[in-house]
Amino acid sequence: MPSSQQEVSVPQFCENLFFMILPRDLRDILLGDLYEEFHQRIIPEYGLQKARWWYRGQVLKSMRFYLLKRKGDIMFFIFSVIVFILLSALAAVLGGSLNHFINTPSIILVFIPPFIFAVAATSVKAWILSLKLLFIDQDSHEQKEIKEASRFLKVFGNMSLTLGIFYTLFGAIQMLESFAAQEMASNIILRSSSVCTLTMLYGIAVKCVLYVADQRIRNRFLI
Amino acid sequence: MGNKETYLGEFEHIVLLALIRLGKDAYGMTIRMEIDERIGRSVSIGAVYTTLERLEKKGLILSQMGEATPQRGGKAKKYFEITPAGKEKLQEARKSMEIMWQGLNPEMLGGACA
Repeated sequence: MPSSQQEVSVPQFCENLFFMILPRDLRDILLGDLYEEFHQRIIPEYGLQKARWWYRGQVLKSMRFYLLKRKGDIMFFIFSVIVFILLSALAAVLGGSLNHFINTPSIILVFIPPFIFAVAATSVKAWILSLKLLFIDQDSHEQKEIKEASRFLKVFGNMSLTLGIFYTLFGAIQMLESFAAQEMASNIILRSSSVCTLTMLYGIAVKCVLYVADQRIRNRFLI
Repeated sequence: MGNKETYLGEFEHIVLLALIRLGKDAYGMTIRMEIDERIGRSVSIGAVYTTLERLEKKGLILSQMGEATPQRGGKAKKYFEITPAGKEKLQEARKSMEIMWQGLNPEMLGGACA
């Protein structure tokens, strides 16, 4: 049996999910226990398919004990972002239509250039580490690396806000030019003004979320 | 009389008894299996560790890190053992139960009674 043990793996998604949820000091211990029982008892007794369901059940039943316990918990971060998005969408719907608040070029402007600026100011490694620190507990990094990851989020957020304002002014100048030329109809000017204001709105939204993400990393790894 | 914080819950009681039965081989997986095999209660590994953590805070058990083995995918295990305070608490809980059971007859329970 030990020879076949290596060939059969536990459900990877569940193992990764449990790994993310568990406190650092319990990861090896709990995952090791599940791994051992999965191979030594459950597979010989119930077969592979049922053993996999048993593993999933154990993870699901155990998750609730750890979901709400962790400092600066990832689930609360995700929850806060979801609440932010839902409330914004609700405000948009109540104010008229959600479509009025969706503009693809504006979204691209506040995500792509700020991301490139942030990578340029820090590094690709800092970007990847910021994701790891946000979603997975890791304490095996030096303070310098963690600070760089935190800086990545800060630059990304600040640049998103700054570029949001920049493109709003950009749009405003174009509108003033159109006024001066007296060639465009007023409804087109109003539409342009709405679109360029949206860019600033998106910039502020991105800044808000990344500010919280940055604070989460600082709170957990630097304070 | 007793301190409120140190009363044993039902599952804590069961886990402490499992620790005594398992002796030096008491760790998460064996504790879970012992409970399952003896009383047919299939609990999650999370429930077991949450209880163990609580018992350790109460000073009723001690833990010690064990070896990482290939059978565990190279992951370490944590052994647990009951402390003298834990054994004392179990005895107290047993006495309390016995006192509460004394004098009960089958009619009171609507069925058989020991």
